[in-house]
Order: sequence, then structure tokens, then C-alpha cells
Amino acid sequence: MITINNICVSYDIKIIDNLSLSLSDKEIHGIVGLNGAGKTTLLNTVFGLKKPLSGEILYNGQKLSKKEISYLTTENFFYTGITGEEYLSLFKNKKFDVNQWNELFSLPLNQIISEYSTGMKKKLALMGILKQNKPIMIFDEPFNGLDIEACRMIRTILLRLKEQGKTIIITSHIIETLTNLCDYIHYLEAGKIKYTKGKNEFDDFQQELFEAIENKNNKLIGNIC
Amino acid sequence: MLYPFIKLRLKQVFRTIFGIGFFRLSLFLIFVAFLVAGVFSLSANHPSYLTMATIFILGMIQIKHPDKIFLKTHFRHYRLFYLMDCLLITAIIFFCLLWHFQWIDAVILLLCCFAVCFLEVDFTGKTRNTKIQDRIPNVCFEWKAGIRKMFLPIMILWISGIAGSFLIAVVPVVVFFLGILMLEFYGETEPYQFIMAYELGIKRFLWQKIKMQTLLFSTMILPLIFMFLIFHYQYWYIIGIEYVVVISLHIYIILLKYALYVPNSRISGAYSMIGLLFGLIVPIFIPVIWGLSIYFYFKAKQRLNIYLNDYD
Repeated sequence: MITINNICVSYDIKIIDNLSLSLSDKEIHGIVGLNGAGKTTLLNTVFGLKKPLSGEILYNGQKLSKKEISYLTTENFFYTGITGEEYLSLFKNKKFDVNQWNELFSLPLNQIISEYSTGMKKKLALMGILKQNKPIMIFDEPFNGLDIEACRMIRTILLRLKEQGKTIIITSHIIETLTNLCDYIHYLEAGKIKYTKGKNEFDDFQQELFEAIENKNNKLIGNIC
Repeated sequence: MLYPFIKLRLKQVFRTIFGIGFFRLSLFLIFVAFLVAGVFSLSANHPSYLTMATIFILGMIQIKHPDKIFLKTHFRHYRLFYLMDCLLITAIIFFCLLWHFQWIDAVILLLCCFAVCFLEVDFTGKTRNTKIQDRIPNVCFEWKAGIRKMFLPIMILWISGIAGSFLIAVVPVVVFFLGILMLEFYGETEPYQFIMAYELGIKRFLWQKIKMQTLLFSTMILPLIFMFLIFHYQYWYIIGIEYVVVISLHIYIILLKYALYVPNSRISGAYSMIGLLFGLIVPIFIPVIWGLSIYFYFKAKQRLNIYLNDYD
């Protein structure tokens, strides 16, 4: 269980404000929110790239360590001039069969990464995460830049990882993606978790959210045109 | 169009120089003076060495010219801009050669400036897999990428070094240039995921980087040193001192890289330039490099703490 207790995070202005959240093990947790709600900041803080001003993040009662998490960021950066194969060889996991996994991803692993398309880079970064094989996996917008086939493939992989006992935290702008995949969805607004919904509440949650956004938009657009 | 371009180039140079702070700027100016004095003396005594070295540097700059695509897509006569760059870089060397009436070398250099503008080689964006990459350990991605990007100049230098090793200056000059090329390996910073993939504490991580760089560089220049010692064993101390200087400089650049570490960026050229001037051009100042290396070691420890604190 990941327990986030009253964390505050700030970049000049406060982004995460006294946020508390419990993320149960072996489930897929979706974090949803509008642009600028603090999703990526929250993930960076959980991963340990950003230190909270106050509060703590625990994993089974102990301070959460980077050794237990792998993190797929929204934008995937690599080092220029190395091949996909060389990138994957950086991660230590002898059990991970790169060639077998690549039958699924079909990446030209002996080519330098700067020759890859955006989607291929995303797939390569995902292979890196899978090779790390950590108990907690964070995915920030994993479906960005991927075609429909790759999206479905990632969905299947995430569900399989959950079956294997991984705890998965995922963000996406596309609510339908999360409702089809997650066990819980946590709605983030202005740096706080506004509400958490379980699987059986997703339909109502989605409808409520869309209605709220639609009403707001109608009001604003009505004032303009 | 050329006048604003020259103005822009000078502005870029001044911005870089002044960006390093007053203290380093003072040192920088002192060592630029040393460099100019060195060039002046070399142009009188060994103009052909100076010309050859300048042509090699011009070729390297042209291959890695960062504004190539911009200039090509925006200007019809983009080669004129290349020529301007070459002439700006070589202006002092031309002046020194002409001052000492070294007409032949001056003409050769001028012709090479024209020739270099037509050099259209770009190795950086292409896959170039050689057997060398397979022999480099997986963790040394800087070397894998560096060899891929600079395979040709490294090979030309290395073979020339071996072939010309019966001449006393050749091996030290080749080791000097190989040493400079290695600095470029560490010019780009990796994403933080690469650092964390080592799963090592900060001290062990930095030690690993330094150890692998020293091992790989030593392996690369070992045949050159061997050839030098066969032909000029009485001057063993020249290559010995040079080895210490170059390794010190590599340690400096690695520590500097992680002291100023920002993921997915480049380290300031001005900082590496200082190291180059201190270490390679004026080697008596190598203790300054050692002092700076200690300073940057502690800065690197601070900077890497956020990424590697859980692995200590």
C-alpha cells in the first residue's frame, strides 16, 4: 500500500496542496485532472524527483524508495547516438528476453534512437520500464503519440502486469482510457484529490464530469459567441 | 547579410565568455593570451604543425556545425557563412603566419578554409555499428555514442599516429587530439533514467564513470604509447606527462558534467574550454584542474543526490 500523507509541493506557487491518498497494492490507479491540476507534479513527487515541502510518502509503512518504482515520463528522452538495444542493455534484468519482447513491439533495435518515430520511442521507453521490473510502475500519459494498435497492446500489458502483482499508477487526458483500464480513478483538482471512484462508480463519474465540463463550456462560449 | 551574421557570431562568442563569471573570465583571458603567444611562437618555428592542426579543427567544426540546417534552409549562399566562420576562427592564425612571412602555409590554410566549406559529411544522425561498440561495456553509453559519431576522425587520427610514430611529435599530437575528442563524449547530459539505471550510490557512480573512461582511453592509446616508446624511449616522460594531463582533464570533464547536471541538455562549452586551456594547452597549470575537480566532485555529489540518494 502506498500512503501519501498531507504532502505539499511547490514550484514558486503551490501545486500540490495538503494532498493525502492511499493506493492499494496490485491495482491500477488512474489519476485524472484538467491541464495544470498537478498530475505530473504528483507523479514526480511519488517517484522522488521533487521533494515535498511537508508530508511523507510511505510504501508498506516504510519511506518509499526509488528502488521500488519505475517511471515512464510523458516525454521520452534518450541519449543521441545510441541504439535501442544499447539503451535496453543499461537496465539490469537477466530474465528479460529483449528479443522475445521485441516480437511484440517490432522495434529496429540496432538502429540509433534518433531515427525512431515518436511512437517507437514511447515503445522503447516502455520496454525499458518493463525490463526494470519494479513492484510499482508509474505511467504518465503512456498513450500519447501511439496508434490504436499500440494503445490496445499497452492496455493488455498493463492488465497482465496487474495480474503479476504490480501496483500501477497511470495518468491520461482521455477519461475513457482510464475507465476501461483502472480499478480506481482519483480526480485531481487544484492540487487536491477531489474524489476517488471505484470501478462500479465509473459510469456515473464520467457522466457527471462531462456534464460539469459541458455546462462550464456552454456558459463561457455563450458569453463569447 | 554577412555583416549582421559576423555581428551575431561575435555576440554569441562574447555571451559565452561573459557567461562564465568574472573570476573564470579573468583566468580565461590570461590563458587566451597564453594560447595566442603559443600560436605566435608556433607560427614562427613550426608553421606546418600549426596549419595541420588548424585544418583538422576546422574540419571537425564543419562536420559538427550546429547551424548547418538553419543556414541551408534560410540562405541560398550558405557556404559564404561557413567561410565566414572559418575565417573568423582562423583570423589570429592567419595574422601570425603572415607576420612571420609564412606565405605557403597561409595560402594552404586559406585554400583549406574554402575546401572545408564544401565538406558535407554528417555522421551524427546515422546508425554506424562497428565491432568496436560490441567491445565497449554496456554502461559506457557515452563511448558507444561517441565512437559512432566520431568514428572517422578517431580512426584517421589513430592510424596516422601509428603510421607516423617514428616522428617524435606525431604520437603526442595524436594523443592530444584524441584527448580533446574524448571531451566531446561528455558534452551532452543523459536523461536521469540513465543515471538511475546504474543503481549505485553517488560515490560509486562517479568512481565507475571515471574508472571506465580511464580504462577505455588507456586501452585506445596503449598501442600509440607502445610505438612511441619503441622509437623514442629516451623521451618516455613526454608521453607520461601528457597521459597524466589528459586523464586529469577527462576526470575534470566528468565531474563538471555531473556538477552542472541538468537532464537532456549540454554542458556549457565555456567550462570545457577553460579545462582545455588549463590542462592541454598550458599543462603547467594542471594543479588548477585538480583543484577544480575536487570542487566539482562535491558539487556533483549535491547535484546527483536527488537521483541516487536511495542507492547509498
